[in-house]
Amino acid sequence: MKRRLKSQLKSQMKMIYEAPVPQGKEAFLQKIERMEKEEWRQEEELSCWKVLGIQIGYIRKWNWLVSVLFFAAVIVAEQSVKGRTLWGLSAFVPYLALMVVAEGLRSTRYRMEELELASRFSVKYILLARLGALGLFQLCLLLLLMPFLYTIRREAILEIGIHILLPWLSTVFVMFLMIRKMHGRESHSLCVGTAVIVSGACMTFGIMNVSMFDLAGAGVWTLLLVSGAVLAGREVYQFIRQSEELQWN
Amino acid sequence: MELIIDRLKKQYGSKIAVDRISRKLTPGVYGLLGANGAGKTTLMRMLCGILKPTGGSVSLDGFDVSSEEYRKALGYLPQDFGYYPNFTGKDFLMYMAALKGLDKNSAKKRCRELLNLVGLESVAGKKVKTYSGGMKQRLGIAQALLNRPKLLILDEPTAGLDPKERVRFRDLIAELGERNIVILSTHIVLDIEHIADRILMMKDGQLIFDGTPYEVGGDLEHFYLEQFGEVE
Repeated sequence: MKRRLKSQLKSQMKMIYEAPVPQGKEAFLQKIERMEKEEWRQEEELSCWKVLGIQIGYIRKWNWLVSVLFFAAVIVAEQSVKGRTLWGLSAFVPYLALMVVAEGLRSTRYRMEELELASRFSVKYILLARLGALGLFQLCLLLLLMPFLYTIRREAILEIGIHILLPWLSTVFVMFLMIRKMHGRESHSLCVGTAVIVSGACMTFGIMNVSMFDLAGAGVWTLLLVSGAVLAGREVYQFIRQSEELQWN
Repeated sequence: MELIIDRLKKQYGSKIAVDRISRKLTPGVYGLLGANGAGKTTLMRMLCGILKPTGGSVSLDGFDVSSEEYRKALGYLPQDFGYYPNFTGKDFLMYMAALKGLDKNSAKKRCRELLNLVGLESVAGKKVKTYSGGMKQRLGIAQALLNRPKLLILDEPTAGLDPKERVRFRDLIAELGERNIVILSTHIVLDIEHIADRILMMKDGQLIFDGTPYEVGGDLEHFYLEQFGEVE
């Protein structure tokens, strides 16, 4: 009874007090939309360079640390232990390359690919940051080692450069080639295998006390170094390009 | 606002995963239904620009799917996603916010809002690996909303959510669908029945039905099973 009286009262009040016709409704709604767009535009003030910088911050800290420790260890070892061949140094370099590749594969490994691919700043920026920053950092450290080792060892700078750079470049080339051809977790294992094989080969030559010029002439080694640089660069480029689309599994 | 899908096709060898789908979508909630292998996820991935179509095109207000403008307006929740170890819930959202182009201050504010919205504010500082399935899903929904997307694509968004969370999610989607385009795929017919403005049914890569829940004539689940020959 009470409810019926209440509803009757409601309908009577509606008849007496008619709601005014809305005025300026469209303009008001458009104003809200403009304010939202303005807020949205203010929020997204991030250039691609800033995004690259932010991505570099997400590279695991121990990657930088290990690279620097390697550099420091070589300096200390060269000053304290004389008479070792450069092959020992070459044997460690493939593991530095493995660190770069592992960093580049994190999206796949932790299933973040889809989310990253659908973002405004896509996976290209992530890979450029990870591979570019860490790879360049390691290359710079390796290049810095060359004049240092030259002053201590008195071996030709070319020989030192080949011992340091060729294992790194060849490991990078082979790893990225395998990743491009073989998707999935098998490629991760093969990358580790590649580093072990290249490292193993260098150690074997070191144990046998073989000079690199016993194996081939300076011209051949130079050609291999240049080819390694070109092929590694090409494979990294192809990897980044291919990563812009999700691979069908 | 219009999403134009024009003769979209995806083919793998002899297998046609999506077969020349064309549609013009305006703001509203679109429920995408279909059996496993119907092509729903493939279609959604092409709409997100993460899978290149074999043919056809997708554009939002004239911007092609491959353009940055399109991605600025896109929010996507994949069917299955991971996270970097050691990320907390907040770290995860901040990382995604950076990828979506939000500056640090805006990202912090937006992350706080969204964590409250999805009910994860109390566990924001905990690692994602400690979250339950439902909590991870809510985190996924939150990241999809970071950039206030005009086009929201959700693949199985209610998987793992308990009934209370599903109701909360439905209300959120219904509200978003008033001014944006929301496409969600699910096997839970009840979710679509309550909130979808239009139902899109897929079978063998083709759209076999495109209509409102009223055109279905009552029981959506019965209608759905009828289309797939499960009910006479």
